[in-house]
Amino acid sequence: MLLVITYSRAARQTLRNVCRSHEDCVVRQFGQAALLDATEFAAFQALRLREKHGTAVQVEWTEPFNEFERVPEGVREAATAYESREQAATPYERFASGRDLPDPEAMREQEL
Amino acid sequence: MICRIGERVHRGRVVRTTTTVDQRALTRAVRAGEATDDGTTIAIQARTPGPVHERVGCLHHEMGLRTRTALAEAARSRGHTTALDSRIETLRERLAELTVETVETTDQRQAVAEASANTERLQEAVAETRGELKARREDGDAPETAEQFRDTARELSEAETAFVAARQNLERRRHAARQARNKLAQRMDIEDELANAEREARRRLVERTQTAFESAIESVPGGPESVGNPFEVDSLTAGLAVARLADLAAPVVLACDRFDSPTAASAFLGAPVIATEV
Repeated sequence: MLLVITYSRAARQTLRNVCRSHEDCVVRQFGQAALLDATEFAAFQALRLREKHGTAVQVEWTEPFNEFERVPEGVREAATAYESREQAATPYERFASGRDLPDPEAMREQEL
Repeated sequence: MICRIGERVHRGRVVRTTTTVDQRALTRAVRAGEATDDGTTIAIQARTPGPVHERVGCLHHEMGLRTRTALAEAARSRGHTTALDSRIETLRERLAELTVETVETTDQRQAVAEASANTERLQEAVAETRGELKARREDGDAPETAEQFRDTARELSEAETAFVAARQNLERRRHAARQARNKLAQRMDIEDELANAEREARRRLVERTQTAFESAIESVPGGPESVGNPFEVDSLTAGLAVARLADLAAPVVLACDRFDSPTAASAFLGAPVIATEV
């Protein structure tokens, strides 16, 4: 899908107008951003916005996130384990130490 | 004021134009000192108009009016202030100081796409030549094909290097764009806050002057019989009422039949008047 983010009041207004006039190609609309479906028509609208507002319009290509393809098993298991912790107030760092779970600093350094 | 239309010169607080002249051109001349209408030069020497003149400086039957905004400007012209004014001032200053550069990434994106396509094409060419070379060698020596293979492989290696460079270039450029967008986002936050503050200030000014505005509407000649919602009367009546409330030192251009004379209009508005034929 196409993620369109606006960074000026004028661009935000144009995006809202586009979303109102072309609901069919809008997957989701947020305050200053919108997800458009992956069609040539949606791309046309996104490019039109960028043509009009330049840097104030960011267009990104997004795809569904499949953790089984992109994320190591250890990280996935850590998320599951942490969310079933008994004490809600325990920060992840403390939770991970002493268990066989990835260190948050190490995860920060590691790109997907 | 001194109002010169073509060769004719009018002086005084009230001017009635004797030739047909466009009211928009007259208004432009009030604001800029000089304007032309259909080849006729209009020059006006008078007091400099303030912001409220932008709203009610030209009153005629087809005019549009954002009544609340105009009324707030009228209140401002009378020296009314609000508690939000210093905040508004600060936000405007911050906006003026915030400069954001434009960062285009179009050329870099295009370069990456081209380099990628080029690399792919050469990868295919190398694979093809390798296959051909293998087949020829089975038949014996193939120096020409071997040379062609080396050339294509070298081209591929160059293309791959260029592709990496193009991607790095785009990455750097994207980073710069992200920085610019951080600033743009900051600017938008200030603009939103400013718009809210201005709206709230306007609301307060309108609230404070609404009673006076209602009385002014009632006194407008040819106005509605009874005033229900003062913000729903016709634009000309509302404009005349706002202009009456406002402190207008600069001439008001008037093209309407509500008054017996331009002098009566000037007395009603408390402002210099340039009256044109309706």
